[in-house]
Amino acid sequence: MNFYNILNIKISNQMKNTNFRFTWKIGGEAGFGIKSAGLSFAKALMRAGYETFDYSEYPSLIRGGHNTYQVTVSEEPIKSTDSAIDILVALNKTTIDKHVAELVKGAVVLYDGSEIKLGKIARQDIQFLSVPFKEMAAQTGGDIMRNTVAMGATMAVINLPLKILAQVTEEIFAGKPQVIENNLKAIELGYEYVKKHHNEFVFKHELVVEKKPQRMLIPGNEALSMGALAAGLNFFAAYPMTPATSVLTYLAAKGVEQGVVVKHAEDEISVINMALGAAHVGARAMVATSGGGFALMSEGLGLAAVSETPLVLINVQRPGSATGMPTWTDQGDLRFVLHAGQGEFPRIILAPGDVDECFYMAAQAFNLAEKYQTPVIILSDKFLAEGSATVPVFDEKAVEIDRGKLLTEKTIPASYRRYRLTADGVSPRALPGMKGGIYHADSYEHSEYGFSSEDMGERIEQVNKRAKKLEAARQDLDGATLYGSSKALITLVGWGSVKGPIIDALNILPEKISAKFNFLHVNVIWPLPSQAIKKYLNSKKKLLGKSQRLVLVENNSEAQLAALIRQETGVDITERILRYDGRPFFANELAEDFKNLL
Amino acid sequence: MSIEKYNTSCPPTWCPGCGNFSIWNEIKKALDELGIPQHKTLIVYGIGCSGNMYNTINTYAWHSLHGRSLPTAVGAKLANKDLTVIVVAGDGDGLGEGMGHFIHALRGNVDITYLIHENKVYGLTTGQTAPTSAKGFVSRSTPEGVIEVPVNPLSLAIASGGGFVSRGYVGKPQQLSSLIKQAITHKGFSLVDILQPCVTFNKVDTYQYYQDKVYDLAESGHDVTDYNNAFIKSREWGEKIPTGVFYQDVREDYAADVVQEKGKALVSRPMVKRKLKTLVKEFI
Repeated sequence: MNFYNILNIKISNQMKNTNFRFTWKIGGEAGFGIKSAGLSFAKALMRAGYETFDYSEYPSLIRGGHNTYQVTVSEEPIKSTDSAIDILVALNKTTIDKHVAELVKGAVVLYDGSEIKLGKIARQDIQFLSVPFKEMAAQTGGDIMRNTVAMGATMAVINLPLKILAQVTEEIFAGKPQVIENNLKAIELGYEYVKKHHNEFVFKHELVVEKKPQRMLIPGNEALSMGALAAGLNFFAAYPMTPATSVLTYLAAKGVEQGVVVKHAEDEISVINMALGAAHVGARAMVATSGGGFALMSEGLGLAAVSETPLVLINVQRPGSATGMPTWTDQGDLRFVLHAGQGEFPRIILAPGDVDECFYMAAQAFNLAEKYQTPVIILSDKFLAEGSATVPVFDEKAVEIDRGKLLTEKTIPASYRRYRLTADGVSPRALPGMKGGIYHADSYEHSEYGFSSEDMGERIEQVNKRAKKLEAARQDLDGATLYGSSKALITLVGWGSVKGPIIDALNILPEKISAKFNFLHVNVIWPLPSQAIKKYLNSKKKLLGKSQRLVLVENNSEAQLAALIRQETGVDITERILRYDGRPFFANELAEDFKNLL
Repeated sequence: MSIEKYNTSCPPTWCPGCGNFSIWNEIKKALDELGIPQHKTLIVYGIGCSGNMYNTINTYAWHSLHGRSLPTAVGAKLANKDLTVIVVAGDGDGLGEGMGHFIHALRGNVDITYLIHENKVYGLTTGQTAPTSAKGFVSRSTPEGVIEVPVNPLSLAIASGGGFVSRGYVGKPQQLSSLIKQAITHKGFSLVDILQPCVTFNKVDTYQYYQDKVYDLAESGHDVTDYNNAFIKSREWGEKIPTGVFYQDVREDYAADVVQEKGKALVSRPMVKRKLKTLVKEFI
């Protein structure tokens, strides 16, 4: 079953127009509990029946600095956030100074007037509501509770019942009755204060609690991890590296319960070789890292390919080069993962566009790795990895386990040749431990038996054999999806996580504008779905004498996808909207950019 | 000879007189005498002349990247504990490129056997210095003589938590055979550092040099459970060169502390989809 069928069902919903979108943002120093406040807020909104998407910004520090967490809320599923803020919760003055320019007309700022002197604020069109966070926090455990008081205050500002947040709070701190008590008291104090002292404030959107089918609020990294678990992952190795670390911590926490051996190895070179050792003997193995760690794994990537050992590798991108910007986002590694590793060899590269695709593509990655006995790389980025989105509960029925041409002791042929030439390039695979299957797996070029070889003929045979596998994989993969009407004349083109901001931006725009656009999303980078791309981008349509315009939207400076598309299809995408400041695309800004294209 | 079955269709490619022939023979004999089935044996080879043993033994085999055989072996053993996993590496590959992995594998004590071919030179790349070459060693990459002092794999192994630390010498094949067998049998990470003259590129550390200096610790009343003494012995080099088991303890191997390793070998369990019910709970 092609797992893309699952996604196709949702496509019809994704282009639904909606004007209802608001963004709440909290800011403060690291250590102020910004993240937990943000997560509670998002979860409470989900329970109230809304769809959310969150995004955080934090510097590479443990204490101090400036951290923010924002949650965009809508009635329809969303996969991006905005740089236009409707509610700002400021736990320090820096937050106000840094973000006042992002506030929309009529926005509201919650702050503690006893701690923050506003001074001269240039904006007259926003409201400032003072709430004594510090004093109320002192009654429930001290400064650390200020974010919790602020959460209660927020619920009053948006006029949703406090009990929704109370329920979320009880779950988060389950098993710690004293902590629950303090937190419940803190949110109540914040809530009651706003109700009493700011009851003249009316939020611009009327929110109602609606019972919806159960959904999940889950970040991209956890979705990838869950997809891997669903598909039978049983060996995972990693070295901590932002923003991939949460894959390691999540799987490490699940290791015993799910029967996965998790190894935090001494460096990334050990990581990939360890995973290859496990995969060689039959484990479904995976590694996860960011660009710098992936660089160290380059040689191992080639080894996976030449030894024809299945392996799944996750690269959660952050801006490079070298150490780069660890806690920020971009799409700068496209060409890198396409070419990493010396020599020529086949690889498969998947680039999920949202949290749903993270789950299903991760699960499918293991099948692809074993069917084609090839490394499969999954490209994500900080924006997708660490942002939670509300999504339907993942459908485990859509996950299949397909181990390809894996032999058993009974099916091993006589005089077994591990790298036997076959029609599709894939050879039947025995595993160490199986009687009759003894073979040699080589990092050198080798013969059909796996013995090291420098023979001209054997070299050509094995190079061609490996290349053939990629063509077999191409038949098994999709990777180019057109959203919107095929009649639209401006085609936006993007890969991976730009999907969310682009679709949301089109949904924000009024129908008569968004109808002029469609969006080609590429989520398989290699083998590139050239046929489909050529078809969608070369339509030679003419409407009132106007021909199709192609506009690339990409989170890097070199427009890497445009170059790849031109390389593989001859189609040149000359109009580009690029962003490479470590920030993701914001839907509201993209909507403006799209309008300005007209 | 019952060890014929361990030969493949590929003969070795080492120089005549190379110490590797001896190690090759002793590995085959050890496996045979221990009765370990060939298909249950995985040998992970490094890159170098030692690693070129890869084509020549009829067991499951993996030819790793230069310096990376240890982590590969660790991963393989954790995924299938029913395999006997042996690592064959050189001193360049194992103690230069792979030095980091050496230390951490010792710390972890995964049940694998590590045979280092210590010839104190880089043979396959035609004669550069190795991390184990003596200070002042003149080689193709150090014509003025090596400035660094040599690494001491035994001291490092003892200091890093090695549970079976030994040194062999190809000129004493019976002792070597016994050490390899003990190493394989020992439950935990077992090191046999094997002095092995390179007849082509190392004119210093030769059979003649070693022959009357090496002595067997077992014959000198050495207590293998005495950690501090083992360390002192590891520093002994010169007119007397100790060989044999320096240190052995009964510390449990890595897998003993891994709950996931209990029961059947990881890869022998049925490969089935996992249910999501418990996993999705925290996100709902």
